[in-house]
Amino acid sequence: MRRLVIPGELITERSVKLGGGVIAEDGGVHASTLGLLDEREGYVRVIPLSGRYNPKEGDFVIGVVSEAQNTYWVLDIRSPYRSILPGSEFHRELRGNERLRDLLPVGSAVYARIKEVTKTKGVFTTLRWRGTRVLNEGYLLDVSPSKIPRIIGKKDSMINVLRKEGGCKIIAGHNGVVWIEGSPERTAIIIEAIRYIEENSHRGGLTDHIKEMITQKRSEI
Amino acid sequence: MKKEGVKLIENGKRLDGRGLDELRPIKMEIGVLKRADGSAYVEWGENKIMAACYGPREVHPRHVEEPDRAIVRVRYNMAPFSVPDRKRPGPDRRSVEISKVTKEALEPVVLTHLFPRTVVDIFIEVLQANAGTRCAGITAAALAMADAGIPMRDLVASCAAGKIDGKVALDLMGLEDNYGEADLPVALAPNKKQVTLLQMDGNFTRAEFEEAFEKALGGCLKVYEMQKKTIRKKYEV
Amino acid sequence: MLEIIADIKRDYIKRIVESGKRLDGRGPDDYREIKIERDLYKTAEGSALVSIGGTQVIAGVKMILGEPFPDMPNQGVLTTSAELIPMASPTFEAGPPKPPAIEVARVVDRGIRESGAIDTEKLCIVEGEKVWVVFLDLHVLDYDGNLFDASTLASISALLSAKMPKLEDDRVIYDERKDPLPVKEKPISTTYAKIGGTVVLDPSLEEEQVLDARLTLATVESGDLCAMQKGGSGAFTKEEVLNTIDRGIEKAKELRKLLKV
Repeated sequence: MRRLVIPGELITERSVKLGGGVIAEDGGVHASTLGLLDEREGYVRVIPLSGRYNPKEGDFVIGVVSEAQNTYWVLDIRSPYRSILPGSEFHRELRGNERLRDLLPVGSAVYARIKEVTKTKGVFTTLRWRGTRVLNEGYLLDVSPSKIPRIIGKKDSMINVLRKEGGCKIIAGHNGVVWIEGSPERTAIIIEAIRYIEENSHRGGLTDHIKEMITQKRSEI
Repeated sequence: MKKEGVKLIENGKRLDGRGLDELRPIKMEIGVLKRADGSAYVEWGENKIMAACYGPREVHPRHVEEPDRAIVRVRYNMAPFSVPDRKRPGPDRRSVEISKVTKEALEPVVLTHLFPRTVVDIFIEVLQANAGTRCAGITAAALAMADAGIPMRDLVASCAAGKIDGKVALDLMGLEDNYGEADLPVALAPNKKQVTLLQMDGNFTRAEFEEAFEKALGGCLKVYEMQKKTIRKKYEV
Repeated sequence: MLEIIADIKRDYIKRIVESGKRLDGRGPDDYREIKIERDLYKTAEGSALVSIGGTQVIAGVKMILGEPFPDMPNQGVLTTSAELIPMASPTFEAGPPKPPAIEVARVVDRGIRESGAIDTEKLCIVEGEKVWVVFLDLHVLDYDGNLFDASTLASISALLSAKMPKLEDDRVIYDERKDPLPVKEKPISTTYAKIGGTVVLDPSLEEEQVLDARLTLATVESGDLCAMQKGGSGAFTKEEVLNTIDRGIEKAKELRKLLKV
């Protein structure tokens, strides 16, 4: 079981490599985020329990178009920073008289990759990457970004259970947005399962439990 | 501060039965609001305070953002029904000042450099007031910030000490505040050992000030223990 | 600040409501869980905290001495205000009340005023000169949809819990409260959202974000209507209005039971 640490709490006075959620000050390493301590040989970090999504290069996010300009779109990615999707990063070229807002009007949802985060937190995304796409149907569920790793699971184990047992298409963005496409009944089961994972993310044997839970619910439809 | 013929200490006990070094009963809860990124509710004696934290988020209006760090904003507000004489809605000079010193009490612990061009918004609502709302507000706000996952180098705990019937006492309640001789609210980042709020009004000798200061800081440490317990209760499995 | 809702999410919520279901598993005439806590704040003459699902609203009652309106010299005065404080939602901003806050306050006020909930003649002290002024302040802590019903329920609960302060030689003694505020009617509001072609009770935030039109109706104990308000940029048909009223009158009976302490 991992130790819960509170901002300011001393973790170690040894010299260690620092991961996220910690700060070295006053001759010690202290927690800087409320979370669970991940301490290994010569390395510490705090796995946050809450907090907004902080964009990182290489992450995959689900964003919603909030502006469509002449040469770029602005994506809301539920982060402190809006992200830019340049027109040139759409998966195909413009044709004829097409404008960007014809391709992706405001309100469109996309699954995009973060291509670059500049020093001043300019966030640039792309749809020119395997797996990225425009999301044309389905429901978007907001979850805490800190729970996304648990919803995906080790080597996709959890999200594959959700997909297979739940009979839905599911994509989990690192920014805490989950896309679900399936019948209303099935979607409702997936939402319930994801909420359960969020609340019980610390428990062992969660994957098996979720499997049973979904099977049980689906037999009741 | 008035000095009138109200006896505030009798047989070493205060009007509510406390000794000079005792805090009022304090209850804390964390994660009580759905929409806010973080929230906390604190009952401190007869004070009832809700605090919420949003952010880091985009700054509106844009021109107040800072290119290299997050800004911290605080709005301390009293509900109209929180005091016996109805408070007119909207900010008055008192709540504007308290908002300012509260912001300055909390900002030192926020790792603002991690989120340039953003704002951490903190909202404190006084639902029932009985002396010491700023201390309870700061204490609740720090919990709400931790709950929101704001990167912080420490928590902040706050408590006041004052002077009643010529004696230094911890954590004045309403009557004591009205008829006492001095009040000294402070806030402390407990691990950093940094004092982030200090205000005083009334009359202290140099020696009395030091005694009150020690008492108030001691109160902050007790409050800090309660904050940690509250967080553990909510998050520990 | 505006929240951006993805079109696919909008469509999804509409589709599910039109299929007779709701995202949180409720039926079309179900409320989310309702909780009422009364008399929470000693500084107020009366108060109540009401939650409907994730929405939380406090109503506080304060009373002061004042003058009656010239056209109603023998009646006390009721003043209702609402603050949608920025704590309650990322879309609320600090500052003077904006149209949504004023609408909530006025709709609640109408329900209470027009139902004759408060016996204002009993609040007269000296005719034409001195009456009780009742301030009803709504403080929204958490906004998760349907502020109207939460606010009305909080208001009537707060009024029912209110005790009048003592009056001594024109001085109001707030520490000594005794007689209950004269409340003679209990208005109840029910709010419906029209989403696509379907009308559902107690819209959640997600449902409010996609609704076409909204209808709030306040009823009194006899089942008569005392206030209504249509909102939203869409419209209702005549049949929808009449049908919704029937459902609201029925539902209010259920809700009224919650007022019994």
